[in-house]
Amino acid sequence: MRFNEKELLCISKQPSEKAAELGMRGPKKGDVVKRRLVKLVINFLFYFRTDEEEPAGALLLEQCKVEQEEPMAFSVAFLDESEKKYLFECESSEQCQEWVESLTKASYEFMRRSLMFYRSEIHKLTGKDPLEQYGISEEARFQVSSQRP
Amino acid sequence: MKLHEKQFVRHASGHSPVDKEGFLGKKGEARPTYQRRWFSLRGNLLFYYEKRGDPGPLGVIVLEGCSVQLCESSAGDFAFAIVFQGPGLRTYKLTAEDQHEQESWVKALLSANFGYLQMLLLDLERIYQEVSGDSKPLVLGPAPGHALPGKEGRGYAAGQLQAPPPSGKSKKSPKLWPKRHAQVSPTSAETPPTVGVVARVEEWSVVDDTPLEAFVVLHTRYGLEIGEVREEWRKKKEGGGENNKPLLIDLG
Repeated sequence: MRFNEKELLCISKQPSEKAAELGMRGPKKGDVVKRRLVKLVINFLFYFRTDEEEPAGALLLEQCKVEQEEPMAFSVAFLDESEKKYLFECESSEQCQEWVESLTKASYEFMRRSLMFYRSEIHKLTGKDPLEQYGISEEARFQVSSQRP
Repeated sequence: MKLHEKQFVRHASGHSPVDKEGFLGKKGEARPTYQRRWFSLRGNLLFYYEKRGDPGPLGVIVLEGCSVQLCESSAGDFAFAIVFQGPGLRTYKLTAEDQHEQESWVKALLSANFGYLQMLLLDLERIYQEVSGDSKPLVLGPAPGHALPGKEGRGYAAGQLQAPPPSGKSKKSPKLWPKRHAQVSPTSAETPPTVGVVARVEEWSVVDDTPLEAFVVLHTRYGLEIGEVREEWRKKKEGGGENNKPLLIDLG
C-alpha cells in the first residue's frame, strides 16, 4: 500500500505537546522493551529511535483501544486484534494517565462522536441544529445513521 | 518509516463511516496519463483502490498540511489538485466526472483535516456551555498537566492542533470568554463524551480571536476560495462558448 511518506514525515516533525521518551514493546511474542521517543501528532503516534531525526514508524490511532495496564504502563490495541498490544512504559502513574487520556481523544472518530453529542444536546436544548449556520448539516459524516454501533 | 499497513486496511475497509467516495482520475507521479481509481475519504485519510470493491487500497493520502485547488487539466475539465507545499513534497492531480462532483470533492477535501473539525468542536462546546447555562465539563480542553497557570492554554486536545497564536488585536469578539472553571474528571472512551478534562477557560481569553471567529473565518475562506476559482473557471469556459450548466452548489 502506497502512502505519502514525505508528507507524513513532515507531519511527524510538527511540534507536539505530547512527546516523551517511553519504553515501547511491540505486540509480537519475543518483542522486547526499547527506549523510543514517542510523539503524538494529530491521529498518528510516531516513534523515533532516541537519536534519530526520522521516525522508525507510526501507528494510526483509529479503531484502537488505549488502556492502562499497570500503574505505570499503558497499551494500544487494534480492534480486531485485541490480544496484540503495543505496550508503553511511563515514568509515573500520572504520566501514564495523561497519555491514556490524550491517545483516547486523538482519533478522528472520537472527534466525530463528540461533535454528534454536542449537536444533539444543543438541538435538545434549543430546538436548533448548530451545524446549519455553516451549511454542513447534511454532510454524511455528521449523520446519526453513519455512527458506529 | 514503517507504517503498519494492516491498521490502514482495517480502517479503510469496515466499520467506520465513509465521508465521501467515488471515481476519480488520478495522474501518475511521473507519467502524464490519468488512471481511473475508486476513492474513499474517511476523516483525514483519502484511500484509493485500483478497482471499486477491491479488498485493500492501492494507496492512501494523509490529508494534513495540504491545500486543495481547482485547476486546468490536459485530460479534460473538472480537474483539481491536492497540493503539499514544501521542498520535495507532492501535488496530486485528480479529475472528477462532472462539475458537481468536482466541487463536492474539493469541498470535502478542504474540510477533511483535523484542524477544521477541532475548531468546529470548540465552537459547539462554546454554544453548549452557553445554552446549558452552567460550567458542565468540556470534552476538549488542555489535558491535565497542561493547564497550569502560566502555561499557554490553547484550548485544544493536547498533542494535536498547533494553531499559531493569532496576531493582531484588531478583532474584537462580540462575546468575551466567560472566566470560570470547569470540573476535572477522567474521560471515558466508551460512552458519549459527557465528562471532560481541565479547561481553564480564563486561559482562553488570552487568545485574541475566539475559536468561533477563527472557525467562521476558516469556513468563509474555504467558501470564498472555491467561489473565486469557480468563477475564474466559469469565465474561461464562457470564452470557449461551451454551454454553461447552472451552478449546482450555492455557497451563499
